[in-house]
Amino acid sequence: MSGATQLVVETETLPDGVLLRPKGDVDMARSPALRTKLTESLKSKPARLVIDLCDVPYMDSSGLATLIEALQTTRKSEIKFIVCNLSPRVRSILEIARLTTVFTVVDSCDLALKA
Amino acid sequence: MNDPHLHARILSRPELMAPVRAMMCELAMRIGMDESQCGHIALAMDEALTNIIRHGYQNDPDSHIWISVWELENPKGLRIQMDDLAPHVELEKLKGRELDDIRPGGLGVHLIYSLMDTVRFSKRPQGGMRLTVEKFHAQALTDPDLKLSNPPH
Repeated sequence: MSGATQLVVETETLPDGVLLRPKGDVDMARSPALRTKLTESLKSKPARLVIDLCDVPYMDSSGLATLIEALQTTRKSEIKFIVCNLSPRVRSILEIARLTTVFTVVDSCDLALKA
Repeated sequence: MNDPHLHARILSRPELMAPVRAMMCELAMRIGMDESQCGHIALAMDEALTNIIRHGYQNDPDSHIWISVWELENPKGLRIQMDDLAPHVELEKLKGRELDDIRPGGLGVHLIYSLMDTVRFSKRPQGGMRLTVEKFHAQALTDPDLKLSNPPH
């Protein structure tokens, strides 16, 4: 069953940084793949890192923890870290964890590129 | 207590969390819960499984977790019980952390309390831990006569 658990994360190069687009549920089984991609992307010290969650219908606290780790790294390195396109379910978990004001959350990729 | 409507044993493997979530959602929909409530149950159970696998069994993939589900009639809802054979944990440690402390980890227990209507952790006399949670149909929660045994935090 392990093959079915791999999370695909698309990478897009931006004029001033990187956009990552994970595809699928981000839970305990799949968040390590997102963490690996985030770590790789942060090594190049981009000015902007955008996480597009348009294809993430579900996220649990493992996924949140992965995003918080990345947020902490970006704050230390003065990298803009923006999360966009949250599904209602993913937005709900951010609200319950009171993280909507901790992350820069915008509604679309266009806004994320200008934020 | 009556026999559960569903009783299953799974291995402590993260890749089994998605099918468990789907099963919980189906059971919740069967008794008329809306999508939001189904999502809350699935997420709470996901967090419980994560805690058992990561902290209880230290990521050992071949330990056992037992899941039992009862459909409740009055008030209408679901009772879900998760049993494991992991070392006992002091119950005071299972209260979730302050959310003002922004750091990775430690959110799972807080989410379980936030998402479910009753939550009870206990030590099983035969070894291992037990989590019992209940989620009531949204209509049942509008009944002023309903008294929750363990109100959410």
